[in-house]
Amino acid sequence: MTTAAHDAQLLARVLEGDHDAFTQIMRNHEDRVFSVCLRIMGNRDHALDATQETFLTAFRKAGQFQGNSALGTWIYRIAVNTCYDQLRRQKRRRVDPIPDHVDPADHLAEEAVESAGLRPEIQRALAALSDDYRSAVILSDIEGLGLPEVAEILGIPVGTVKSRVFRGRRLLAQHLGNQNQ
Amino acid sequence: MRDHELELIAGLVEGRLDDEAEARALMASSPQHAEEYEAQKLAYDALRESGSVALNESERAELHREVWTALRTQPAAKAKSPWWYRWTPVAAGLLVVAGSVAVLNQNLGGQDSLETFAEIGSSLDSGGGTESATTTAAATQGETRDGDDSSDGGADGATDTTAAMAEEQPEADSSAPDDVYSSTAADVRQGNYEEAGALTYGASDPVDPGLEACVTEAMEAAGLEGYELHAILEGLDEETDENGAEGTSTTLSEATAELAVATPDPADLSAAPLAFVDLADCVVVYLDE
Repeated sequence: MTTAAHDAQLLARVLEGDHDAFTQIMRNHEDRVFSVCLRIMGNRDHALDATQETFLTAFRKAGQFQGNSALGTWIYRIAVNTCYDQLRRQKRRRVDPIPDHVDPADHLAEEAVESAGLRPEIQRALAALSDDYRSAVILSDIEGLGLPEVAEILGIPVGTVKSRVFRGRRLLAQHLGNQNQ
Repeated sequence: MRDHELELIAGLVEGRLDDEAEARALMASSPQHAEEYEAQKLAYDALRESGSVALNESERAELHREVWTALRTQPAAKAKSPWWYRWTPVAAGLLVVAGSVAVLNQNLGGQDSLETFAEIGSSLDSGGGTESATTTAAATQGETRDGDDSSDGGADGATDTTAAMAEEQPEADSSAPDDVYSSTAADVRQGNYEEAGALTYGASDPVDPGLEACVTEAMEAAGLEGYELHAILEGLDEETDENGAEGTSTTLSEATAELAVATPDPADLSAAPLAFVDLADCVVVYLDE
C-alpha cells in the first residue's frame, strides 16, 4: 500500500474517533514537519512549538481535508503557514505601538544562529531571505521535494516555484559569499 | 537570461540533465552564465549538505505529550457543516411563525394580531418547536405573566418578541461579524495593534501595491472618498481554507492578510471613520464611525 493510501485510511479512522490513528499519522510526518519548521524558524524550541500547533490544527481540521492532495502535502502546508504565522506573532510582540520602521530580519538572524545542529552561516543566509524565497528553497533543496509538491504546499504555480528557487539560491549565494569575505 | 537557459543551469546544478553538453557549452561560451551556475551550485550544495533534521528523543516525547494533552480536551474531528446550516433552525422557526400568523389572521379576521402572535408562541412552545420559536413563545409568555391586560400585554409582548429574537440570533452564531469588527476598530483607535491582529500599520510599513489597489476599488464602490490604507489585519474569523491553514489567502506573504483598515484621517484615529475592507473581494464589509 502506498503512503498516501495508508494515510487516507488512517485519516478515515481519525474521523471515526480513533485517536491512535492520528498518532500514526503524526509519526509518519513529524520529522519532516519539524525539519521544515526548524529551517523556517531557525530555533529548535520555536520549531517544536510550531510542530505541535501544526498537528493540533491538522487534527481539528481533519474533517475539512478533501483529498485533493496527499495528506502529507496538506500537513506540510499547514506547517509552513503555522511557522510564518508564529514568526509574524513574534514580530508583532517585539514592536512597540506604531513604529516608523520594522525590520524583523535582524531578529530573525539573531535567532537563526541559536539553532542547534545547523551550519550557522547557512541558517543566517536563509534567515536573510524573504519568506517566499526561503520556503521555496527549504522545501525544494533541503527537504528534496519535487517542484509540483512544493507548488501544492505553497499554493503557487510550478513556474513560480522554479523562479523562487532560482532567485532564492542566487540571493543565498550572495549572502554566503559575503559571510565568507 | 532566457527561460531555457535558466532551465539548463538549474538542471546542471541539480544533476538532472540526461545530456549536459548543451548546458556545458552555454557555460563555456558566456562568463555571465558561468557565474550564475557557480552561484546556484554554491547555494544548492550548501542546502543539500544541510539535509533534513529529525526530532531528538526528548523533543519527540515532548511533542507527543503536548499534543495528546491538548487532544484530550478536544472533540473528535468532524466534517465541516456549511455556514447556512447553523441558521436552518432559525429560518424554519420564522417560517412557521409567519405562516401561522397569516393563516390565523385569515381565519380569525379582526382579532388583534398581536394577541394571536402570543397564542402562536404558546402553541409552538408546547409543541417543542425550533429554538427560535421557543424563544418567541418564552418572550411572549414572560410578558403575559408580568402583564395584566392581555391585549396590552400582547402589544408589548410582540415588540419584545421581536427584540428577543434579534437578541437570540447572535447566540446562534457567537462570532457575529459586527461585534468582531467594532471591537477590532476600538483596538485600532487605541493603538492596540497587536490585539487587533495587525500585520502592517502606519504609513511607513511597506504594503503590496495590489492590496492598495484593492482598497481603492472598495472605497470607490462604497462611495467613500479620501480614505487611505492604514493597516492590514489578520482575518478576523477562525475559519480555515481547504488546506486547513487558519485565515489564509492564496500566497504565503499575505497568508493572514485578509482585511485592510482605511481611514480619511490617520492622524486622529480616535474620531475618524474606519472602513474594513475584505481583501479577498475588495469590498467594504464594515464601517466604524
